[in-house]
Amino acid sequence: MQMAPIKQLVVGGFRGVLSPLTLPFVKGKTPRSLVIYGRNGTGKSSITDAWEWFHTEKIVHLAREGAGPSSYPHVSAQAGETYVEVQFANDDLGKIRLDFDPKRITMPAASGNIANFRAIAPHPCHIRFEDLTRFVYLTKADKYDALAQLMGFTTQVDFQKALKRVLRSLSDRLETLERDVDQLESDLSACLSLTAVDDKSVLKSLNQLLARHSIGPVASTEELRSASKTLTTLVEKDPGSQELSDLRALRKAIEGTQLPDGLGRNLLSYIKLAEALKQEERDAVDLLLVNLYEQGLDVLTHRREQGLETKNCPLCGKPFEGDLLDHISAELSSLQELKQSRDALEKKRRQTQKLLMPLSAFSKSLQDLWQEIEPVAKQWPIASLIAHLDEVEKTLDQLRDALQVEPENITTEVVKLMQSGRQSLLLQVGKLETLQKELLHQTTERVQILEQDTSRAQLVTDHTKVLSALELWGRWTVVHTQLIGLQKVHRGFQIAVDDYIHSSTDNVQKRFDTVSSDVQTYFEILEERTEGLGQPVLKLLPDQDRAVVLQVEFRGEPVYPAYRYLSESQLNSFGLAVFLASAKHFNPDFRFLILDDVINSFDVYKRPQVITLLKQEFSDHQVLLLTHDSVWCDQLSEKCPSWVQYRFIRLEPGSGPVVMEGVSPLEEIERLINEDKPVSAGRDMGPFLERQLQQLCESFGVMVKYNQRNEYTLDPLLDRFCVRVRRKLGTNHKLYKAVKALQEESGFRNICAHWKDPESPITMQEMLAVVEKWKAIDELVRCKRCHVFLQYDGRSGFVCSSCNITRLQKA
Amino acid sequence: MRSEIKPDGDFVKQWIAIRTVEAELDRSILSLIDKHRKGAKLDEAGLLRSLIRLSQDPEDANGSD
Repeated sequence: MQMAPIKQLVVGGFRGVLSPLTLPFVKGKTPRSLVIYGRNGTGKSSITDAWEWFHTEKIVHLAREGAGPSSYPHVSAQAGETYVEVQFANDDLGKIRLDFDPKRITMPAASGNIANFRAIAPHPCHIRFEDLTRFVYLTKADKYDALAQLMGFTTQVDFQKALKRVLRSLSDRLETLERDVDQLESDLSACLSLTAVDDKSVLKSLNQLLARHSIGPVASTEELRSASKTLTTLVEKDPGSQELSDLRALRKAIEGTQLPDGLGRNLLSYIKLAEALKQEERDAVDLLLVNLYEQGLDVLTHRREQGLETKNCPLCGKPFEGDLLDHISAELSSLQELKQSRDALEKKRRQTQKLLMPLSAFSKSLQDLWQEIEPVAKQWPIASLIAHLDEVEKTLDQLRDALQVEPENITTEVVKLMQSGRQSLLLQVGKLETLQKELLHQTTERVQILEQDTSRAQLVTDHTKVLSALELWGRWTVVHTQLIGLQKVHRGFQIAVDDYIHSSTDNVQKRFDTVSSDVQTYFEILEERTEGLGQPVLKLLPDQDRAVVLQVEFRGEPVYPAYRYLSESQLNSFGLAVFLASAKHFNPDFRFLILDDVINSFDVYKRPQVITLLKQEFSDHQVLLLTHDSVWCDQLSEKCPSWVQYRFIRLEPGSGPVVMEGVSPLEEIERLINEDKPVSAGRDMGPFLERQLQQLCESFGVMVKYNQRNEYTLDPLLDRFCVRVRRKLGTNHKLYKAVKALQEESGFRNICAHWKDPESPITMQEMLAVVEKWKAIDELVRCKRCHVFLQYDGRSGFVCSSCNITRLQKA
Repeated sequence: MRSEIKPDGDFVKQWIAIRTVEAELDRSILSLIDKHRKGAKLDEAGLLRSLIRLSQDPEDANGSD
């Protein structure tokens, strides 16, 4: 296992990088951690994107924005120019390169042992600022997903979601089959007057019917089919029975052509609702915004509860005049009213659609039966009814087409189409009802005559029942068998999915348990200066799918859920702690981290804690750190001088980031002196010394007179520091002598007086002397091993807070 | 006592392997889930089709496409 696994990273033709950009991690001959400073928009994030693609072949944050692999290459990159190449310190891995294939954009081509690398590094190594901020605003389920990303169990959560989607589809299918079986059982029960439907009851009832006509009992569907033929022959042998059977069927067909009750009323109320929706001030398409407004309201309410005001629109970033929360509430309320109107219309649309069943099947029956009974029904108006039904069907078609349009897409033309369809139908209904009434009257009269022979009536009734029952029973047998099979598979699959969810939850809890001790440590380092906050614990809610809550201790009391009480910055601390602990535990053989602008979300006073955390807990990790905070970058280079530094100066669209090797502020000052630019060096030296002395005074516990004007603070800072050193270490101590030497240096006094507003020039010799004298102090006040300023131990010495060794004592 | 799934590693693969050996879940269903996964991705439409086929023909335990 290598301490620092990466020697060099090369990115070409990828995102903002066009010309191949080489980032060597080696200093001397040893691979080191690396920090890249660059303002926003200088191409830093392309490095993280490139790494994520190299590691996983996808870039999740781009996918969330709907940008797929086609957006990975630089816009000007030619085929073969988009790649990421990593030189590993581990000889088994060696050099691995991943090339983007424009012909198969989701299938990059790898050279080298990339599978081995991915096996060694199964867990995400990188985290971006946005990954932490997402954590703040999400719902419980979304927080779980965000944690899944931080802790590297996204794939198992995605698999769980996929299994649940399949289960839902299977449940829907099961429900449809159950409905079909219920309907068939209901029809069969009505046909045979059964209380329960099963093979035995159906056969018993049918055998009773058959026995009335001296047909022997049947025991199967096949035998029943044969028996029904015998019954049909009996009917056919008696012309009166055949006619009665046909007439009853005719009567049923005529009744079938009757339009459903309430069709006219439904059409009218649908038209009124559609007109009302069209008259709304807002377009129904705006309903797409409801979720957005609901989330916006949640975010703004959450912020207000935390005492935070939101003056800018969170979407466009522009200032909003007035109360944004009130505005969003009002907009949401108006949209919710619109949604109610839309939902009412949709409900009515579906109701009306169900009433518009086609009449064509009844028309066909009428036509067929008419031929059978023509001698009797020669004068009956069957042909007129069939012709009129064709007209009515055309009108119904027009209404059906208009009802296909969903509420969001309804236009004035659609409403007009509905209105004219309804008018036509009103006119057609009168004639339809007259024809139906006349035909029913004639049919019933003839049926009554034929039914005077009761045995004939019984034969025809039983024959109709047997034919219907045969058809229903056949369908019921098939669907019922399918239902039983699906119930069994559904049950088995449900148990498997439940087991998966349960196992996954246990697994996630184990992950939480594995990392929880480190999460606590890291969180407490990051929040060291927040009094009374600590002991973060992640809790899964076992009764909810994908729900997780955070508990913290606040002044000794457990606070649950903590999301309501923690600030954004504290939540980000928690997110970073979870990521770092997970990366440490789940990538034990690949100790590499990419932190992309993660300190953005932290208050300035908390940012140095990230350096402390990395130094204390990740000294055995190689880190690639990207930041646009130059002060913090300087602090890092002072405390971690072994790190390699680069600066992204700007982004050239035709090539990519313009890079220069990074130097520490003091090295930059020395460079200016060597170039004979002492005034420029003095201007840089002023803020540098001030920052250093502020930190030193804090570490040494120096009392300094507060200056609200923030002017000329160098002199009092050094003066009070000198007093502190004299009191604690004595006048013979070499640190006291070094401080006095700087204090008496004329160059230092010039810087004190003029660095913020230079009037008199400072000489190169003076600047050189100041730098040398500051270096002498810096060497004494900084732990040589840990590179941090010593701290007052509360008694008589100064100790390194990192290695805990006392480095300065009274001479 | 049921076998433990390690907190690190390929969870989906481990779950299917362990549950298949334990035989507490329906093996033909586990086999279909395994058949329709590629790594940790699931061919949802394919799995649904196979489950329905299995429900109609239990002999077709493999749910062949």
